[in-house]
Amino acid sequence: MGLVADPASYRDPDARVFHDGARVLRVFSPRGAAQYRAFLDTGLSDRFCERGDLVASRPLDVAEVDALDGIEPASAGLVVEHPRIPFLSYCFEWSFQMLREAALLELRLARESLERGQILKDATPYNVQFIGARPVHIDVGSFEPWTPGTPWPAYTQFCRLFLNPLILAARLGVPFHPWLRGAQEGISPETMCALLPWHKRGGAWRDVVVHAWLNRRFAGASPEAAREARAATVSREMILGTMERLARTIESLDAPDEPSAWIGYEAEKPYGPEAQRFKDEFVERALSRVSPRVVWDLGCNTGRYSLMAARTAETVVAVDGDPAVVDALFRKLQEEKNERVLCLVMDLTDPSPGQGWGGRARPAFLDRGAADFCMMLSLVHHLAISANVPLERIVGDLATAAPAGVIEFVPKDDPMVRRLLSWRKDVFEDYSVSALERAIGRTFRVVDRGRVPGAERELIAFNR
Amino acid sequence: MDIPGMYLAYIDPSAGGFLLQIVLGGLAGVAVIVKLQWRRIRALFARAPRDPEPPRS
Repeated sequence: MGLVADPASYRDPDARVFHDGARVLRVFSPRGAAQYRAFLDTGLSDRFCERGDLVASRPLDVAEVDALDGIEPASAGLVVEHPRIPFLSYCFEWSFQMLREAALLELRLARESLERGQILKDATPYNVQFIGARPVHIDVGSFEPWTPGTPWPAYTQFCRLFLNPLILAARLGVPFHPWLRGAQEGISPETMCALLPWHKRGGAWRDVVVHAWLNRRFAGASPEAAREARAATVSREMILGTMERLARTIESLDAPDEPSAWIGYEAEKPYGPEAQRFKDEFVERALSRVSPRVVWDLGCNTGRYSLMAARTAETVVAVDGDPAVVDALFRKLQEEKNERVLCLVMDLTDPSPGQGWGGRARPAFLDRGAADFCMMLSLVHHLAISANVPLERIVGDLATAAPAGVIEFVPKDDPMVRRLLSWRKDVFEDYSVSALERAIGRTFRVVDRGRVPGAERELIAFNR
Repeated sequence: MDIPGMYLAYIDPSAGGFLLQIVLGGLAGVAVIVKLQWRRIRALFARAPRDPEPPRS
């Protein structure tokens, strides 16, 4: 198979990413290669890789480069291979703590690099991916020698994509997800300043308020004035001071007290230990029947079943629409240094679309790689009753993401469904376990089913 | 919109980020801002009278 250019990699002509079937290759131009070698010579790359902060890179030898179909060996200064990221995710799908960890990672890399004379030329969450709960910087082309006296070019980008979304969530209790999904350049200092009332500006005066004022005042300065201003110099200590200040501010931001209807689910779930055991055994059986490599846990809540699947599966993508439950799950995963379960915040009735240049720079959630097994436990009633999605569409459009799976039907007289129906008219005449079975039967074969003891819930395992 | 200097430039979103870093760098940086501000004030007075508004269609 020939090399295919990664649709997300076009900004930096000196270090472009290509895919070759299963491999991820980064092709440096001669200039990019010189810069990358200078970065390697500082010893930073080894240190970052050892710590797991930076994606690993293996340089290809001449014969391997010659064998590549799709690039001119002469145009390539150097080609390195990176390990594949198990499942791509983006900042508008991360929980608060995930974005904070990614921000602190970027600052850590930026500070240590500058101490060795290298500058992190961009600071964007799109350069970070998660392997389970571990954030990894994936763009080895973002380091270049620092020209003494010049400021940190990524400062404003860092504020727009890390600092301001975190302030928005922590200080105002407003989830950043729709903001980041809606604007790939993030939240400008001017917008953040307009949103932030005076009494909540503590610690943010310089990076939000003064930053916004200077932007408003001088962004339209004439080229002559700008040239004059650009003659001013910034010392290394000053830039390090800026990076340290940003790290302190971000460390001081606490996860928002988001109103969450589901964070206490584990404690108040409407079934006892016997039902729990039955459900656990059912899911375990369904998993062992398939031995999936990649599992999707849609509506993961506390992640109980994600963790169960991760005992054997290599990758589990755990999705929930409630930012607070995903944040709690991430902290748990982080504590146990889990590198298999990736948790994401997403409304499954509106999964992330393809975005960025050509609509392809960031692929849609459903296009990022196939699952072998799909779990939809305590989920169907949310989609069917809160969001009016017909059962056959739930199965046809979502369960079909994998060739096998397990689904839980929660009937109308279940306390959780009664809660969903308490503020609205019951217009769901077709909501029944037999309707769900018919929908499953159109694509799949039912291989196991069982009624959860003490609850009227039904579990159905199916495959193609 | 009537922003002095605007007619000469395109919006550079990182101007504030650049200026903030030099301002926090000390007196030299502050002097740059004072100078830029002085240019704006001068531009206000040195401005030629505006053309009459084109008729609206």
